[in-house]
Order: sequence, then structure tokens, then C-alpha cells
Amino acid sequence: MAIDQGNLLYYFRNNLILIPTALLFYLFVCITAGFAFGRLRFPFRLSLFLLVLFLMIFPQMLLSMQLFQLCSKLHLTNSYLGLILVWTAYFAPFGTYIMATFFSSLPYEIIESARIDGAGTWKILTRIALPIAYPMLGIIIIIAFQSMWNELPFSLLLLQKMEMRTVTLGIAMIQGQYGIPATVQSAVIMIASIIPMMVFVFFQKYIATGSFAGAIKG
Amino acid sequence: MRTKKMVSGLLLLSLIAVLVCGFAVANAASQVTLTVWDFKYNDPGMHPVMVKIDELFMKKYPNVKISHVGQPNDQYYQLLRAAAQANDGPDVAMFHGARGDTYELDQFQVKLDKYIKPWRKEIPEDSWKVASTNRNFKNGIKLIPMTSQGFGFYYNKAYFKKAGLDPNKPPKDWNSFLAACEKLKAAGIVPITGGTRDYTANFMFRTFAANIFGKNVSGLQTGKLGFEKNAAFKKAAQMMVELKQKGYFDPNGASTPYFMDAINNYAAGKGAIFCGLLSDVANWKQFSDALGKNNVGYFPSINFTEAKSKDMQSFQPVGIGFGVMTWSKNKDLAEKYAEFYARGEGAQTFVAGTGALSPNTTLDAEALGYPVLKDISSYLKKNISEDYQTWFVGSFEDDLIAVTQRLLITGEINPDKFVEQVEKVAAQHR
Repeated sequence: MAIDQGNLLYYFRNNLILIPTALLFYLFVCITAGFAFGRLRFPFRLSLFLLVLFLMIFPQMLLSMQLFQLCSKLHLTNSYLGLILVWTAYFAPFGTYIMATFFSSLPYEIIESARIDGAGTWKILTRIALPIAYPMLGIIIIIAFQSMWNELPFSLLLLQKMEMRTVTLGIAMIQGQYGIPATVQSAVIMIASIIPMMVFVFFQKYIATGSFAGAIKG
Repeated sequence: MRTKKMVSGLLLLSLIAVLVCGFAVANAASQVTLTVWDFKYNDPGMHPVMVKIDELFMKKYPNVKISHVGQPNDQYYQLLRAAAQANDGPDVAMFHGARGDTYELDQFQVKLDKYIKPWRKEIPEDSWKVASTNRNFKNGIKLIPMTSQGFGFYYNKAYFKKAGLDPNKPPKDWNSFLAACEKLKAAGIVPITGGTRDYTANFMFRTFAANIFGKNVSGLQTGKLGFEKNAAFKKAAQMMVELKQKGYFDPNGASTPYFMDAINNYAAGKGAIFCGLLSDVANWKQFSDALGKNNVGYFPSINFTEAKSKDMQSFQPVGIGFGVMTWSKNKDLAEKYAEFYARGEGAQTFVAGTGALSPNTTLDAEALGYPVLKDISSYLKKNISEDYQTWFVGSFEDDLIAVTQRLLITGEINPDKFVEQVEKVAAQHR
């Protein structure tokens, strides 16, 4: 009944299209920007990094109106691309910060020996730094996944077509003006929590290992 | 010769292709999509009816496709504000009648006066007035009213009979109301379903206010009238406390939300009296369908000596309505859509399907065969008192509910302190 009333299967399908795609965008930005801030030297690096940190303080509701206007002007409302870009922009600063902190803690010798062997920046990132960073990637994936799964204000504004809506939006939608019985609502929320829980269980070992990353230098 | 035939054939094929493409393009160009936003579309009771009305409209206007978007109720006006800032949003949007939020978005709503001119008489001027910004016709009519709203007491005739009461004689005055509750309680029937949480007490106060303030409710908003020094309002508070003390409310009322649990409880026969609505939900249709058409009685308020009027019906001339947004590229069609819900086949379908009370006087709701509607109509014809809540912004209701359920009903403050508090709340919202 809960699945039927909430059109949940529909919304699950949308989430499973939208979130993995958004995560790819998000990871690309976090990894590349994180590496740049963590390992490279370029003008205004610290200022830009502080700006990225500064972006983390804005609450969603403060930005939602302006982002909606921007997306509207760029014809990105009612498109998954619009929401993916907004999510990436909003969630990436935290991931970038985590990755930059991790990359900056990598032993200097590892990077230097790779350079001596003729590896360029891209190769160092993909072949040397990234494999070591898997625990950190696990952490930022799990945090971003949960954030995107539970995100409401941006998706509410940007996805106005019923057939495009996400699970969280769907839960908000089934509560009409006068709500629905609490039993149905609880069932819908329980069902909607299954996938985030599974993701958490799958990635939790990375959190455990990632939290100790860099604690021991041998 | 052969080449000639081939060329002719190719030309003919090309011509057909061009014609087909041209027809398709022309057809696509004449196809209009109207986007509609509302906060009702997700309600289980409303959804199938609105889908049906949309289909009827699309049948009437084959070149129109309706994209009906149900928005979450809690974020609805915020979404509309965002749309207004971006100057991009729905063609048609639903609004509450006479609410600050509605009037606040006034500049983004199309004036509908010229559109409604041919059929304006179908809806009373009182409703059109509320549909105009700040109830001033000079600002233009911005809504086409779909429903009227009000509050009153429904009662279960079978339970009345079981308790030894006359099912055709509603307990309209205070003493007979108390006596009825006592008899019901003695018969093992919950006298008043719902009770001490959220809207039950709030709606009951609004029905009492109809008798207390009669037709002069606007003074409450301007400050000419007050709650604190009004002996009848204090008596209303004492009545609420007495009902609670005598155990006439549902014993589980404190933990039962009005929407939809208390309503469903009453529809399931768990109680004899319920303070319900005239439109939307908890209305004449829902209860008659659940409890039997001839089993539901109605009275609008409780009469008591301190109140200056009797049998007054608390009423909102416009419950909800559709407005047309200024950024719409199809304003004429958008207005036709809004109109469709308010008159003719669309309105009739809406009323029959949802139990809404339409302000449109040409609709024959009584033909639907619900006896309780006759009772309601008789009060509406002569005893209307506008619901005082509509003169205040939405947060006034929330604050009043807080004062009522957390302080008065729990015994935290006495009726004297309560009327003082209500006056303070009203002063903050004036």
C-alpha cells in the first residue's frame, strides 16, 4: 500500500539514475580540486581554498532562490543536469576539503619519486595518489550519497515534473494538505531508507579505515 | 520515361513528406501545455477527482495538455515565491482565499475582472470580494473561487438514538449539548471525537465565535473588537474547560492528530459528535458516505446566553481558488481552466467527487442526495458569520492553537488568563 500510494518505485528509479551520475560529477570535482589544493602550487591557492571552505557555511534555503533563478535563466529547470550541477556545486566544497587535506598529508617522497620516474601530474593523481585515497573516497561517497538522497530544497525547486521527482521529494509529496495516516507515512519512510542503509553498510569499512588514515607513518 | 516516372514518384513522395511534416509542426505549434500547481493534488481524496476534471478539460480543449503538479503543502507558498522571483512557473496556481500569502503574491496574479464579467453573477459578491486583493475590488479580482469553507458540528444519529436522544433534534444550546454528552457517555459512546489536540478546540472556538461576534468579525482584526473584555468569549473558554473536565472529549484525544486520524476515527464510528468542515475533508460527504446518508445530522454552533447571536454558521466565502500568473503565455486558456473548476461540468464533478462546498449558486448540490446538505444550506442562506481567522495571517491560527491546547485545555491557565493570552496573540497579528 505504501509503495502504491507513494509511487515509490518510480522515485527509486529516478534516484538510481540521478545519484550515481551526480556522484561521478562530484567525485571528479572533489578529486581534481582536492589534489590541486593539496599538492600543487599556483597563485592564490590559499585564498581560493579558503573561498571553497567559505562556501560551506551557506545554508541551502539561503541559496535555493538564487540557484532557481540561475537555473531558470539557463533553462536547467526540469532537467537532471541542472540538479546534478547544483548538487555538485553545493556538496563538492566539503568533499574537496576532505580530499585536499588527505592529499596534502601524502609523503613527499612518494610524489617526488614518481616525478623523477617521469610521471606527469595527471598520472601521479590517477596512479599514485588515488589508489591510496580509497578510504577517503569511501567517506566522501557515503556522505555525498546520504546528502543527495535526503536533499529536498533544490530538488523541490528544480524538478517540477512529477515523473522526474526523487524519493525524498516523493515522501514530501505524499503528504498532501491534510497528510496521510501515520502508518502509511512510516512505511514509506522505512522503505525509502533501505538503500541508504545498504550503502552505509557497504561503505562503512572505509569509514573505519579512513578515520585512521595518516595516523601512522611508517 | 523510366527516369521521368522515378523523378515524379520522388517528387510525389517529397510532397507527401513535406505535407506530413508541416501538419505535424502545425499541430505541435497549436498544442498548448498549461502547468498547474496546487497543494491539493496529492490528497488521496482529491487526486482522482482532479485527474478526472483535467481529462474533461482536455476533452473540451483538445489542443491543451494539462501538466498538473501537486506541490508539498508546507513549502507551497515558498515555491510560488521562488517562481515569482524567477518570473517562471505555473500558468495556474491554487491559493487560499483571504490569506496574507495570497495577497502577498498579488502583483504576480492576473486581474480576472474582464474574464469573469459574463458569469460573475453565478458567485456571490462576498466571495468575489475575498478573491480581490485585501478584499478591495479596486485591486482587481485575482482568484476564481472553487470552494467555500466553514466549521460546524456533525453528529451520528444512530448513536443519539442508542443513547436515548432524539436523532432529529440537534443539541444546539449549551444545556442540551451537555445533557446529550452526558447521555452519550453513560451509553458508553465517546461524546466528542478528536478532542484536546490541535484543530478540534480551534475549530470549536471558531464556531462559538460565529455566535459571539455575529456578522461583525472584521473589528477583531482592526482592534475595534477584542477577545479579552468579551464575556461571551470567556464563557466559550469556560465551556471548553467544562467539556474537558467532564470527560466528554475522546480520552485518546490528546495524542490523536485532527488531520486525518481524528477524522478517520469519526468516519469509522468512534464517537457521536465531531467538529468538522464544510469542504475539503471531514465534510458532509465523507461522513455521510462512511456512516450512512441518513445517519448524519448537523448544527453550526452551540447557542449560549452570553453570545449575542444564535445558530450562526462560521463561514469562509473562499476556501481555495485558482489564480492565473502574470508570466503565463496562455492567460486566456489558463483562465478557462480556473473557470472550469468553478462552474459547469468541472465544478459539478469537483463537488460530487470531493464533497466541496462550491460558492457557485447555479450548482445544485442538493441533487446529490445528501440530506445533511439541506441542513447546512439552510444555515448558509441566512446565518453567515465570516470566520475570524480569515482576517488574520496564517500564523495567527498556529499561535492560537498553541495557547488553546497547551495552556487552556491542559489546565495550565484559567479562562481569564486564556482570553488575555488570545488578545495578546491577536494584537501581535494585527
